[in-house]
Amino acid sequence: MPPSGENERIDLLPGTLELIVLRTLTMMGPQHAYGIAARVEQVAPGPFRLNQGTLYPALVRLEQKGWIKGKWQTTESNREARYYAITKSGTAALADQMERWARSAALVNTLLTSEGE
Amino acid sequence: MADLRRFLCRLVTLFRSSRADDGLDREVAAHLALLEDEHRKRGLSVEAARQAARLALGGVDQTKELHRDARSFRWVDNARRDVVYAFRMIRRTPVASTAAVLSLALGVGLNAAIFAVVDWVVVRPLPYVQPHQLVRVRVQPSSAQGSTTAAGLLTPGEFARLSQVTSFRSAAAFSTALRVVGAAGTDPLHAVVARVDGDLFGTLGLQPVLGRSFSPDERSGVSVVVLAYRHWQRQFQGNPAVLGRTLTIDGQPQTIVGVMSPSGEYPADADVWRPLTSAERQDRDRDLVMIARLAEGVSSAKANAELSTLASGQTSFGGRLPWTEDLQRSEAGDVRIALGAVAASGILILLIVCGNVAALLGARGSDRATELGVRAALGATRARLITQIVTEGMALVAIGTMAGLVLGTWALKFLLSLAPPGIPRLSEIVLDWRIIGLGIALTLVIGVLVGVPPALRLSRRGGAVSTPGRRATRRSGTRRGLVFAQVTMAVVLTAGAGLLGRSLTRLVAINNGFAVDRLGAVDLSVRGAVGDLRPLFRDLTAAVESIPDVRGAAFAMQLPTQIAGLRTQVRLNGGSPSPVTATLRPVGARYFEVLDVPIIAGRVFAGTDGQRAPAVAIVNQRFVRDILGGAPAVGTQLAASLLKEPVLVVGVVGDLTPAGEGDRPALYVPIDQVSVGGRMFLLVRSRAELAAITPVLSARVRSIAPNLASDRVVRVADALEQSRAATRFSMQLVTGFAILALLLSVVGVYGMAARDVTVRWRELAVRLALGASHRRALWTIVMPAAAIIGAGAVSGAAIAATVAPSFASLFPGVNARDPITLLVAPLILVVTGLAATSMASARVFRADPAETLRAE
Repeated sequence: MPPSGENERIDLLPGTLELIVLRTLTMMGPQHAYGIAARVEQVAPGPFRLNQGTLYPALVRLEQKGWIKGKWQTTESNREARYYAITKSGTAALADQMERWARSAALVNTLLTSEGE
Repeated sequence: MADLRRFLCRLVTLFRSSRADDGLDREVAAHLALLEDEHRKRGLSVEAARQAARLALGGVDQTKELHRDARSFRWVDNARRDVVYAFRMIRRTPVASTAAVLSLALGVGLNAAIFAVVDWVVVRPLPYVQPHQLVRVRVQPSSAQGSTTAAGLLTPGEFARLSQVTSFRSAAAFSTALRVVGAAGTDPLHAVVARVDGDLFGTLGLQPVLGRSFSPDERSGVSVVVLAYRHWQRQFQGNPAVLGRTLTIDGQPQTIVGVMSPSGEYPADADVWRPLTSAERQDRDRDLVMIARLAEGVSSAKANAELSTLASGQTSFGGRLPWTEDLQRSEAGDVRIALGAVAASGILILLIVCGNVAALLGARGSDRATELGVRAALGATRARLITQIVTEGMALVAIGTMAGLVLGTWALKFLLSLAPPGIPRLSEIVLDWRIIGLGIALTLVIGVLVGVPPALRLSRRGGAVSTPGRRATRRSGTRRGLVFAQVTMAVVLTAGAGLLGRSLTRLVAINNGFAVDRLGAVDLSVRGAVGDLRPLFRDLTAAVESIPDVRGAAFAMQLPTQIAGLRTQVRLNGGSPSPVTATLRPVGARYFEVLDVPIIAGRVFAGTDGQRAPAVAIVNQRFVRDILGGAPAVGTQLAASLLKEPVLVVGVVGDLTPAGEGDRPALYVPIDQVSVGGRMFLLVRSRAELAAITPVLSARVRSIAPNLASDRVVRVADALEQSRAATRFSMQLVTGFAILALLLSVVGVYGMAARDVTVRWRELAVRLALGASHRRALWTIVMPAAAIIGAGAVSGAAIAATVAPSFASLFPGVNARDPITLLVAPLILVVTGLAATSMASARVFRADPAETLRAE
């Protein structure tokens, strides 16, 4: 991976990118990889720049799990792109995964912030 | 569920890699286009927009790699690419690769064939129920304990006692003899008849295919027989109506009650089985082979303990001790040693082959250091480089192994065609899946052995630039080790072949005491015939001698290849009071002429030495030396047991020394003056090849004596050959191996020298430029090679001298540390090795230093 010049850049925790992609697709409807990347960068607070290539492994994993489905379509600018839409099982999985993430994040937060008795 | 789905998708994608790649290319291109559009909108130039797009994506190739990782199983994909790459490399170096594949094929093929035989004889269980329970029981003097070559036969009485021990669930004993069997409507035939005591078929767990085996009360001596499947086919053409018919054995009628199944007949050469008669059970001949099935849970050691307790309590065993031995081990017998030698040779060949392949791969690896360095710089991990190099080795080895297994089936056929008699159930040996599995396992081991070391060495170097000089030194260190090992092994094999060869030459060159060329014998059993047989013998001899191609014929009770015979007590007339033992040989009148036995003194028998003429005899030289103390024999009067009246010695003939065996004192008497019967041989000396006159011979015999079985006409040379068949077999094989080893190690030596010249080309050019002569430059190549070859030769000779004594029984008559062999074998390697080195380095003479240095 090419070294990044931005020191303050934040890396995503492993696995979370898939969650984010699912969430993005629920919010925006079917979207292509670039669209997802643009949206993530736009929504993210502060200096977060996604290495857009890393979306592809996440997309292929989600598609293989049957949580999203890809389809070639034409963009508004009349270019072709592969649009991904969340599937029914994807929606169910998202709810489940978000639940899990929330609990795990809460746990980590608690452990990190708790004062010694 | 989702995980399973993903797993299946990844699996499917494995086989649709290019399609997935196409889709990805399209998608990434679209992504870049959108990014570019975006950057253009922000006012960047076309070029800048393109660059920014790529930057945002994080590199097109990296993206694709990440995608490949996620969508499929990366290692499988890699392996596939490595294999494709490996085959490309193999095609790029066709000569070296062919050499490697061929040597591998030879090594693997040979070993597959050898191990098929070894597996069959030594490893594979006998085709009986629970074969590990079956033991051979031997009774031997305690001094011969553990010897598997001594027969260890029993008397019926001993068998009766030993079969009672509780360690045995059941036991049986048998002896075999060649007899003539007849049946109404068939020609009389020679057949091996096994006399059986105890429950042989029950002990082995054999079932008849037709009829039944012996019932318990028949086992005590009723005249019934069971036929071997083979014999049933031969004499009765497989006719099922054979049950209840009468079979005569030497004229004695027996009732056929069953036919055994064709697999697992025991003993393997038996044609007919019959129970021991009650009279035979009383005799004290020590001729029974005993086998037994151990009772459930009883070990061979426990059985031995019980047997020796039993025997030591009974004086009738006379200090002889019974002991058991695994039946399979016992069956494999002497063949084990020969097979051991062959297997060891095969493994040595394989090691030499591995040496060559490793050297080849190593050399190729050195040439590719740069390429691998570049790959490492481009981000290939060390593990990745190692797998790639090992895969290349494996691909080569795999091709070699497959070719080897094909070759192995031929090698096996060849091996079996050479094999001496005595390898049990030989015809059933095939290359089965277990052998092929062994081949594949071998591939893996060899592949790793020859592939991993160069891979480790090369990958360690990584992308770093190393100095060619140092690299060459390290490389050639390993290569020299390999060549040293190869030369050593080749010397060991050559020495082995030399020892066997010397032994065989000694056996072949031996004076047999008679001429063996075109000498045949009709095996005639007159057992059971009644009355005076002398007219029959005369008629048969005359009938055979009237065949145009027959030079002469004479009857004898034994083939001249057999020294032992009728023992007789000889007493010199008016001489020694105590009788001495000699062998009595009743022979036809022209016996000595037909056999070409030299006449030392006096005369041979003549037609006038008839029934009513004075009794005469001829003695051999050994008789003169041992019994007469060297005194003139002709004119001596002798009395001998078995002879009715004293005989006058009329001549002295040479000793019979078949295959170098020493003759015994022998007394020959004219067949016309004694009464003989039983098994007789009509010896025939022909002018043509024996095979050509065999049909006429049989027909002539049949026309005179239709009741005699004339189906066996043997070549005396074959009978003689049997004693050295094992040596010849081993020699042919080991010689083949030695030649192979020699060739392979010469290839290794040549490769080493050629590589040396290449690696040191620049150094040699400098030497030549500085004024060294070509001869001097050549010397710097040949010298170190000679040192390695010499060292290998010496160590090979040392190993051969150490190992040879354990195979001593394979080369009778030759000192296992025969100095000539131990000198010549290394010499051959040194000479051929040096020749190969000189050939490989001859190109130094064509070197033009100026041109070489300019090219640098």
